[in-house]
Amino acid sequence: MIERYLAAGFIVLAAILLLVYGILAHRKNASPLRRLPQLQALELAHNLNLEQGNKLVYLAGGHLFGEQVTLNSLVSLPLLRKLTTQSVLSDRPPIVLSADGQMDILSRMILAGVYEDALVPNLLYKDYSHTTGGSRFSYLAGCLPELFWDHIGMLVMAGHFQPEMVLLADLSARKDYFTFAGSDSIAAQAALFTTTGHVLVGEEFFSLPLYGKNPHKTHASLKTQDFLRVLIIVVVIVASLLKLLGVF
Amino acid sequence: MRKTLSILVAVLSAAVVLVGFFLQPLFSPVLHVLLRWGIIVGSMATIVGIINLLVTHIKRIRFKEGRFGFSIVVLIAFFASFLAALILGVDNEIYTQWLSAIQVPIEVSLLALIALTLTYAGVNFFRLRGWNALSISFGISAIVFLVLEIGFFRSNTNPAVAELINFIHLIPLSGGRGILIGMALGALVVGIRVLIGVERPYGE
Repeated sequence: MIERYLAAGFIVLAAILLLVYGILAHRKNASPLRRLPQLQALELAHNLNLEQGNKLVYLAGGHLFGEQVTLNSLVSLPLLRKLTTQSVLSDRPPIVLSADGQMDILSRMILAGVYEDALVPNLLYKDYSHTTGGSRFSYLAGCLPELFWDHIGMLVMAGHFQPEMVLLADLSARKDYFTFAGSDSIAAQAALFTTTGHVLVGEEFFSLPLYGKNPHKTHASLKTQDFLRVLIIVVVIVASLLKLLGVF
Repeated sequence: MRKTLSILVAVLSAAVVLVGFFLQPLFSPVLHVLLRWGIIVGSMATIVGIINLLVTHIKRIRFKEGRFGFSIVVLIAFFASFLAALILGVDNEIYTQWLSAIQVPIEVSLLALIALTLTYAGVNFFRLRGWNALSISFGISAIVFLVLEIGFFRSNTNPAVAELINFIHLIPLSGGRGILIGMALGALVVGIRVLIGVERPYGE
């Protein structure tokens, strides 16, 4: 029971910190604390891709059959919105591949919203976003042929998927496409780290919603995470010392 | 109006689930109802996803887009397994054996391909990242754990060596925990942002 109260207290503390740092960042007109080189490279590559009139393949991932339910793929949707907003009027619009129905519906909603905002809803076709498979290997098998279409320039993998996606990253690298990867799975991060130059490691994946956002929000989120990280480090060190001294 | 309503529904549902989790005996009935709703909505979304998949492949075959031969294979495999499950039942022994006979070899061959790709990537890693502290430590740790996992040292009865091996095995565990703590913090902050309506990944 005590763990539950501690967790609740931790969440409340995080919410208060987020609020306080948000207000402070707004007052001081703060800039983002750190920029991720991977995201900067993605931005450059996407602009180049648009100029060359190439297509973006976006893997949104999703909940895979036989695994614990996860909603971490939702984190990648703001990035999808940002990239599709930039490429809505390009010669070859992006294609979004999801691993489950929920992500497919949400991706479609985002695409529909982007095309409506750009006043060109008639340019949106149903096959711009679809599910390719629900299990680890069927998702991979469904995504592989999508990289054989003509005029593809980049592959963005951002969402929940497992290390087998390294095959896709390898294929993308062989075809000389720009490849960007971010996953909530540590195993997938480790596997993709060996094949892809632009990989989000650890909590960097959870900074995706902040990509291209108001710098105040980015500042507040990073400050909150840093504060909580220091707090955890202090608690771990103190607890280790107490255990060493035989207190508990 | 529609956007405000969707934000309100999302924020309220998230708040109820969170509060319900912490006050579980009291809120358990509400949590069960919300969970059931979630399962129903998730199942419907899966059906929508399957229909979208079929529509996409039917369109590709109809307009002979790209490599539409793959689409024909997808549709044949889908309808064959779907009809067989309807006629025989999903628990039928012949049906499950038939599915496994196709699925298992394909998955195993993909796993073998992944093993080969990772080996190649491990060698190619130094060309991709260059010779720096990170790549060198990555290479050394890969070799050390490859040698340890082969099992050669397991037959060694020297307690000091066994202790050393146990200690080496703890290093990636502690590193992994460090990354997990960072990821949990990232997820927590994103969750709170969604909860207070600042972040709306679900919105149009």
